[in-house]
Amino acid sequence: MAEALLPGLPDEIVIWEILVRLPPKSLLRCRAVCRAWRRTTSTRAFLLAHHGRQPSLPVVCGFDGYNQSILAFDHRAAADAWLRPVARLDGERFFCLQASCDGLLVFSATTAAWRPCLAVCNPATRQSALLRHPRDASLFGVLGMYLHRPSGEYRLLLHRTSGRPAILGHDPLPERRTGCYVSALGSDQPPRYIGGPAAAASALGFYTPALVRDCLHWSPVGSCKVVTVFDTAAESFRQMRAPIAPTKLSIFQLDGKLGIYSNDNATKAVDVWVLPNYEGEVWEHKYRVELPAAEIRGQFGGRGGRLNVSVVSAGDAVLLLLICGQWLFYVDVDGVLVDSFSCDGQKLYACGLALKQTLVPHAFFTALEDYTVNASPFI
Amino acid sequence: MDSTADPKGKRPLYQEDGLAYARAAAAAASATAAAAPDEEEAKPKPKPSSSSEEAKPEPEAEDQAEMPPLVLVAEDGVEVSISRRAARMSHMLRLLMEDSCADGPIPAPNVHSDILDLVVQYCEKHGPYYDPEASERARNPFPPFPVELTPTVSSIKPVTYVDPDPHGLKDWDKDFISLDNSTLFEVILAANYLNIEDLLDLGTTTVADMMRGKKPEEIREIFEIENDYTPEQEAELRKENAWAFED
Repeated sequence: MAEALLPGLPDEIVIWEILVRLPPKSLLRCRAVCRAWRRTTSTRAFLLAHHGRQPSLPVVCGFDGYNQSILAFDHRAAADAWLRPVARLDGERFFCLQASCDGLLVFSATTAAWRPCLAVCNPATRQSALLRHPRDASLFGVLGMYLHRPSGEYRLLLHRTSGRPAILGHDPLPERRTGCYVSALGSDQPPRYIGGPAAAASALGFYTPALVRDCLHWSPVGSCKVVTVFDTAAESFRQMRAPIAPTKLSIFQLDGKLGIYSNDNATKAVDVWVLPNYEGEVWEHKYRVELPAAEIRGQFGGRGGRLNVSVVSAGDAVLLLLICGQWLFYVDVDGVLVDSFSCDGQKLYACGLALKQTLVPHAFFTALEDYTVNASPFI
Repeated sequence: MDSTADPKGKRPLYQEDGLAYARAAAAAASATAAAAPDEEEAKPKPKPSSSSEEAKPEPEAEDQAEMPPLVLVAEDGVEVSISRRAARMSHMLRLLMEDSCADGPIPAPNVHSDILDLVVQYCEKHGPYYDPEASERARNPFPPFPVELTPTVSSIKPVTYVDPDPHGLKDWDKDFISLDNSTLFEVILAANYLNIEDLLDLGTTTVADMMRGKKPEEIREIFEIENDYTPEQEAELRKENAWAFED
């Protein structure tokens, strides 16, 4: 008869009620305890349940002039530990974080031969690989990443920015239409054209969408005052009403619902709306947060510099992250400066993306080029 | 099978076998108790017959408070009583009460009376503030849409909203759960058998916290687990996930 995982408790409880609660780092250490622990924490079912329990943490990127850092913001962690590094990536070939979904991060990168491409990595498993398509990533912008439930594939929504031919003949696509394309991670097929709002698509690329109810939502862009919605199962676009406001708006996800905030750097207050009833499309003004500007400027010596405001959600709480240079300020909805963080030598960016760590070893990694584990780009 | 089948990663708490066994045993025990002259008051059953002598229908909470406590029988035969309000915390006992199978002694096999005392202590402490609806939602994270939000169930709250703990339950829990490992495990088993979600969460989280941040050798020592890796295998494993073993 097999040894019990924890003498005194049935395996079912040890696996599904105890081990599954551990954060990824602790869980990986537990695999080194004994073989049975390693075996039971490596099954797909376990890893999916474990991933399901992970919090979705707002991501902050740092750039020190050469290398990229990915930091995760956990407001429930102890003071001084709420912004913690997740991974550092070699900046020589990995550039900008483009999309995130379920613990996977997609970056713009280059191959060893300096061809622009996209790369996918999982900071918890330290797996990384270059995507085969699009062959010339400089032609495309990444609008978002999603799990396409009908097929179970992770897919990228791309928009083709120009009809020009690829550099050095890297684009075998006869298709050169501008507009939206869909590409599955790990696929051998070139991106598939799906049309979409071509005119708005390139503008959408500047904004991070919010994934709610299996649809990607972008805040209103330009003169258009609607929320653009992409249904990830049907892979089609539609529109939704947005709150009426004179300022630029940014969309975010809050506990499975949509939120929008005003993003005008000139004002000293941030307005936040939420959408409690998705079908009704009626936005409710929830908060008006007066930013503690004086306190903030006092903290970093009154040096100038634009303060970038981003509203993020952590669980069901709304927080504001204010970034200027290497400084990050964490403000709550009452306008109180809760804490501040300075990352020496790095310039910080709140990219509006979230990371829900996963130890699930996705199959597509091994099928891709330049597949590495525990190696570059992770440093 | 898609990955959203169990999005919260939680296993179902409700265990068919345990409940059926408890029902059957309770029914058998009730039958023997009824045969003997008993002290039970003739309290109206939840499904009243049209009797004009009965008291006016009272709200359920009051009904429960007035009804006699349940009697649990530990494996060593010792009887432990638990008020009905506290018993609500156990999903199994709640179902037995709803089915009116809870009037006689309820067996709790494999649970020693000392452990049962602890479990009842927990339930009596938390019972008055327990809201069955709250945990239902946790077990069913995707209610059908559209969700109608009334202000009381709105989940959007500012980050400075501190979860009210006016009854000092968190501190009480911390003291309560500082037990030696074997007692802690027994409490977890009892909470599992009786389907007391909050106590199960408290116990298992405590065990998980003992593992968090520790090195593998420390975990082995705390839980008395044998290392069946060869040194080479262990080194290989540590290299594979090197970042996790750094401090």
